[in-house]
Amino acid sequence: MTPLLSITHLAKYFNGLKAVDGVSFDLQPGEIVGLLGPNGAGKTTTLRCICGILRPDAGLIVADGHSLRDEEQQAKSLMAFVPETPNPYDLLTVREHIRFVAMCYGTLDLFEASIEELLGRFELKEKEDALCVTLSKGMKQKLMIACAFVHRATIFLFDEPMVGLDPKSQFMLKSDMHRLRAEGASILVSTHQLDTAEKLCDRVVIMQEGKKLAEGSIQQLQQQAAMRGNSLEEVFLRLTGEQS
Amino acid sequence: MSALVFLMTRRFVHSFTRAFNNPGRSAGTVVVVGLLLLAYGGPLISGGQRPTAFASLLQLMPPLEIISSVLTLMVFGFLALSFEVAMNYTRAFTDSDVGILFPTPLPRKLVFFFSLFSRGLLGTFAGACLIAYFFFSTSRSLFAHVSAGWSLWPALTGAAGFALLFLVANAAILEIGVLSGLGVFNGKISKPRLRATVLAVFALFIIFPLWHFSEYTKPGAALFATFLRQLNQPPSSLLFLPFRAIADCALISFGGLTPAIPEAVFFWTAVFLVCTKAIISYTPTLYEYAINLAQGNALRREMMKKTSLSLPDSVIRKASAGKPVPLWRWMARWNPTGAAALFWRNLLLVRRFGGFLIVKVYVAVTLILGAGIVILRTMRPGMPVSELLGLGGIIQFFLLFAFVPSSVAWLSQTLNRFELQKPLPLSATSMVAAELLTPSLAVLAASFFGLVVLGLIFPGKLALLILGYLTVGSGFIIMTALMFIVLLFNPDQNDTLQRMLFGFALMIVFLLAFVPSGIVIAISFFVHTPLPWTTLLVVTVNGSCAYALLALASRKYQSFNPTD
Repeated sequence: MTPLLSITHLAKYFNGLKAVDGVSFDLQPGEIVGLLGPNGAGKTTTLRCICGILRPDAGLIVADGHSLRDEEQQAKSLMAFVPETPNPYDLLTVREHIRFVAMCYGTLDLFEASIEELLGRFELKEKEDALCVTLSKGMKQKLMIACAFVHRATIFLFDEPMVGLDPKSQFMLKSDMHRLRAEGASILVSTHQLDTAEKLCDRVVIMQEGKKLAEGSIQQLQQQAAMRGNSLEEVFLRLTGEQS
Repeated sequence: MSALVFLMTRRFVHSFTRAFNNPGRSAGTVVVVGLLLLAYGGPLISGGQRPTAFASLLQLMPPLEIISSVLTLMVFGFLALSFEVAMNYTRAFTDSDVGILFPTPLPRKLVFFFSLFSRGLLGTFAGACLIAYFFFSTSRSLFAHVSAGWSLWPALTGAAGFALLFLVANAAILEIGVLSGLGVFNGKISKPRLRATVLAVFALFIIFPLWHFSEYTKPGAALFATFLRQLNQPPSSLLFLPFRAIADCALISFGGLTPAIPEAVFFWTAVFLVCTKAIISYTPTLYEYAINLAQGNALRREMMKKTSLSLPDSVIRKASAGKPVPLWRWMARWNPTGAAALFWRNLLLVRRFGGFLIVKVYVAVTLILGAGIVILRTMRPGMPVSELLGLGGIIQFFLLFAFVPSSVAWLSQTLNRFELQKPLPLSATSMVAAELLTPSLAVLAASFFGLVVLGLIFPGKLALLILGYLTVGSGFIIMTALMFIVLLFNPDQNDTLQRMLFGFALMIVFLLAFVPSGIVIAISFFVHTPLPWTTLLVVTVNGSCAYALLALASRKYQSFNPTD
């Protein structure tokens, strides 16, 4: 099967230090992949390179046949990125913010068709005319996630999406991810919540010090760590050497 | 493009609406806008009518040549400041851009330039208005002076030409600053080398006119007028040509189309286009540079909130290396309680913040000034003492404005510390007093040094110098209190309109702060009050005003809501 997102030998340096060092992995259509790793492993940098915020120093990122380097706009049109820290534009209302994102992607028709449903689904209806500066952190996070659904993305990149969300919203987001997977989208989720990753992801990529440490399904990783039957948390700690 | 225009307009509309949601801010907005309209519109509207009531007074106004030179210096000063800001520009890009705008398929060149110009130029709008204000306020006197009658079209052409050329020049300067920043970011130029180049260029603009002035001036000539006139003569005029043309544009109704104007249009347009092309060559790294600026901005905001993080890198490095952080020994022994403890903390923060750097600069400049006056006196014995004293006084007075940015930063930090400070068992008045006293004391200490230096040079004028010192010192306390009140009404400095309102209000604050003492001195002058009594009166009046403003600020601080 042709992967929807392909990352090959991705490298990114900051002041000579390797933040990401030759990372390669693919995302197949209808697949949720977890990006795991300790703090400073290079997960956020990897996601930022994939979505085109940072330009890789080496490597290739291809989204549905479009190289991010050569066909940046086409590749970006296929991706939706939800950053770790929700920083919506303070002086836009919730509705305007979603509209603005749709305008950037040229999908106002989708905005018109889905805005009411999105506001309802993310419990933003009552706040639709409120300025983003007045929203709580959780509401801002919901808004950022809602914005990811207002354009025709087939690749979803989530950086710690559960942080700041209440249990109900976390449940709903997971349901949304399952729905997207069923529709054939590819989802890459960076998270520290290993129990969530275990239940949600089809495969995980573990990073450490900018390098890919391991990749595979939970079962494959258990085999690799020679810890059959153990939880992902235990496997993760063994593989990253954080467990004595 | 439409998405970016939508973002800009909606943010501005909400910012404006937000200004009217809060009754205090609403009233402040109306007052500021009203005063601006009055200040700008008044002279323009009545410009065609030759004033008669003050005709004799207007005859004393300086001629076109001098106004043009002052305007040239203002344009130069403002654009130089614009360059400094652009080099380390932090407000053009935000975390929101990084997380939301940069991942979109919008072309990165478009996003970069749109953000840079829309926010960068808007950020310098207040300064442009200040220059325009000077032009408008002097235009009335020019209409009375220059034989060419007033007519609408040349006036409008001049205003539009000035605005357009100023905008192009400002955009070009912004781009030079950004280009320098990009060069450093991409390792094309080292920061020390860039800093040395910039300093050399600035030094050229200071030393060259001064050298020319020393060659040009004749014994007994009026210092200021001579200095300003020589800026019109080559070779100084050549150096300032790109800036003079902008001033000439503003004064086109009076001076006509000077050869400098088309030359400057060509110069600034060429600089703008060359810089744009150079920035475009950095397209692949534009977002990374913007992220760097956005992160710097976010970090600075975060540092302002947390006092524990508000230390400069050098202090953090020293502390990490196990070296003792800066501390006065007497501070370690002094254990104040209550509001005095706040003052203790403030002194400690200022000490570690490097906040006394400005005092050191002030002292250095004052010493140079003192030496300059002594040299001038020796070289030109016929030079009147009043002019030399005036020169020293004026420079000392304007030097105090160097304390304004750090004072504003301090007061902003006070508001950011709100959550830490408000739960303390202290009265709002004592808290506000401790915060206002900190920047004011730095000014009082620095200007005391100025008083000593000028007092040694002009011992016979000591009483006058003390009056000046206390007027300016107490006026600065009023200014700080007024700035804090304005800031309490416009606390969100990330809100463009609030920032602009704050900037405009500052201009009014600068004037208002010296109104009480100005009135007292004017009355005393007319009724021939002895200087010591005038000094006492000034201190009493300014002290009362400061106390009243402290009460007002405390009341507002008590009900202050940072998310309002």
